[in-house]
Amino acid sequence: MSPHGYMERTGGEGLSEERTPLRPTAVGAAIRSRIGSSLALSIGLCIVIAIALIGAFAGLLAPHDPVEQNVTEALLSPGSAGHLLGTDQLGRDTLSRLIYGARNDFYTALAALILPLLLGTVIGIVAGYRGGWVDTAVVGIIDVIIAFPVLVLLIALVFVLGTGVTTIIIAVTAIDWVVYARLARTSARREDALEYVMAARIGGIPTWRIMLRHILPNIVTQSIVYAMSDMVIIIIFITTLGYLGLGVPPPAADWGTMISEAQPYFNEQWWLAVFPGAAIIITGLGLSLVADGLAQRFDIR
Amino acid sequence: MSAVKSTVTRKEELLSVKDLGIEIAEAHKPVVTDVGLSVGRGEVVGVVGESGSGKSLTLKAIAGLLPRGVAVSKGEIEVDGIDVAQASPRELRRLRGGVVGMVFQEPMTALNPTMRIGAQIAESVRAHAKVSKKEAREKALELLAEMGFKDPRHSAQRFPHELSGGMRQRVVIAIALAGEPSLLLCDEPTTALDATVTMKVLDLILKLSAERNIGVILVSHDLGVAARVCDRLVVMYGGRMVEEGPAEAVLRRPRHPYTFALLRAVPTKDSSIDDLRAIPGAPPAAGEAGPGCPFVPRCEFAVEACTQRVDLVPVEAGRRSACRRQELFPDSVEATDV
Repeated sequence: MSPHGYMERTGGEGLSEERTPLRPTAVGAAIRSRIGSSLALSIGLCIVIAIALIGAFAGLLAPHDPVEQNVTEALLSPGSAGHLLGTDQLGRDTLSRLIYGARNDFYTALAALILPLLLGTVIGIVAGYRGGWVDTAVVGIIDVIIAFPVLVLLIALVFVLGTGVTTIIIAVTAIDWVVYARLARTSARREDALEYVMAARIGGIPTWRIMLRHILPNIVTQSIVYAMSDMVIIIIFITTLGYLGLGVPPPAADWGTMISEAQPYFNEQWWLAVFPGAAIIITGLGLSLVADGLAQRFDIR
Repeated sequence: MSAVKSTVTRKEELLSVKDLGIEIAEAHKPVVTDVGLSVGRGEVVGVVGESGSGKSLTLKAIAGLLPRGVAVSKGEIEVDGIDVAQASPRELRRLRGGVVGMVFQEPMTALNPTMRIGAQIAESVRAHAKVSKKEAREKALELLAEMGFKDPRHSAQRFPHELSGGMRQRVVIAIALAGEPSLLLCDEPTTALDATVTMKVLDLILKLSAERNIGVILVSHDLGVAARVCDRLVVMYGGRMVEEGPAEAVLRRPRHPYTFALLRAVPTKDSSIDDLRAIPGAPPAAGEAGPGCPFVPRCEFAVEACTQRVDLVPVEAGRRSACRRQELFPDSVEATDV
């Protein structure tokens, strides 16, 4: 409303350029335009739920122990007796490793998604609603973190902190919270200008309660919908770390590590790289369909 | 501002605004200048003027709710003995809701779309009284009943989008009253409503003012609304008060060319469409008004002296006007009825 507010807003706009060239919902949107929105969303949900269930019940579903080695049965091709998708160079069952990979990658990504979502949203609301020096400080920190290429920063952090699931979650959280903070900050400022927040303030309702009961429920949909597409990126990051040997420590199964280990066998046993690659693509596709479908449904962006 | 007090007898003064100035903080552009207001218990004071006249900002300043970048630059606002500018955060919280309640223009945006209305009212009750959740809920139901809801228990479970505009506005009023304030600020409370609902909401505000013995400030650009409910009227233009007095007197015998022009722009049942006169030109942009009367560029009676500072001066019993050319308004001349 005020010229001051306007300047602030356009100033904030400069921040919102995409920080990554990946557009996680692009694939989902392309498919939706061909097969219709409800079908696309349903397929996406089915894929995501299936992967989540496979990961959750990996112990029941996997025919073999994913880390059990058997050199006499190394590099079997798919369709071999007892090993539906064959075995790797150490004789480990590929199907079992894929299934356990779903557990490691999907749930690590989920944890690395929820933490920054919570942290960033809280920081963003406080900064956006309180304004003043808190806001200035938060925006400063966000700008510094955004200035780095994400993957490079992530690799550097994991390198410093040492590999492991906890490390990955901490590293992703340390970087990814800025996205949610920025989103929540902008939304909080937008809501702050609306009369119901003003009404709550003139009603003498405590600040924390205004943020929790009034602002949060009204802006959280956007963040959650964004989180779905963010998860595509996080899964790719986690598998990339695995591929680079910085992911879930061996011998635990991880799709990125599997691709990395399959590299010497590309010519003969190409399927060793193709199966985990396909797992990543299918997961990403499912999430992309859900992200795009939800964004469409809630009319976000 | 003139030192002469208005001669209208005050019933226990609730709000006193003196020499209020509001400016855009960074640019030091004044948007409201020299506004003085007072409201007593049981009194309904209307503030009228077109968009950009500073009426809403004045109201928000009283509530301590000025938007970012806009600040009170001068004068004092005293609500129930508390100076709003000097108040501690604790005093401000008691003030907000406890002493001052506010009703907004757009009832859809004034309600939280994600909360049931009963919970929203109860929340405001609990912000000011140490009561249990259950008691707050009961109080919310009582308030809904007082606002004319037939089945409060049922309505309390509704979300704002399930209600009609008039019902929403009544919920907003219920929330404003939840802390038992003694001053109700209404910012264009009927602008977003249908004509039929407008009357009901106005009647409700009038009834509450009388029954609860609270002071009401009603900001409106609609002279008809102001005429219907207000005891006194303040006319604002270009961030300044141009005229003040008992509502009926101001509307029947305006003592400022702006009020006069405003009345001529209002259609009435007796006037033909040809009698309507639009006011030529446009109001000054925020902060662009000079030191003199802000209406000069659009005023057909303006003389050289009008570009000099003009104070509000008493023109007759209980009335003040900021026009140098009072000779234009002999007491006998009557403007059109509203």
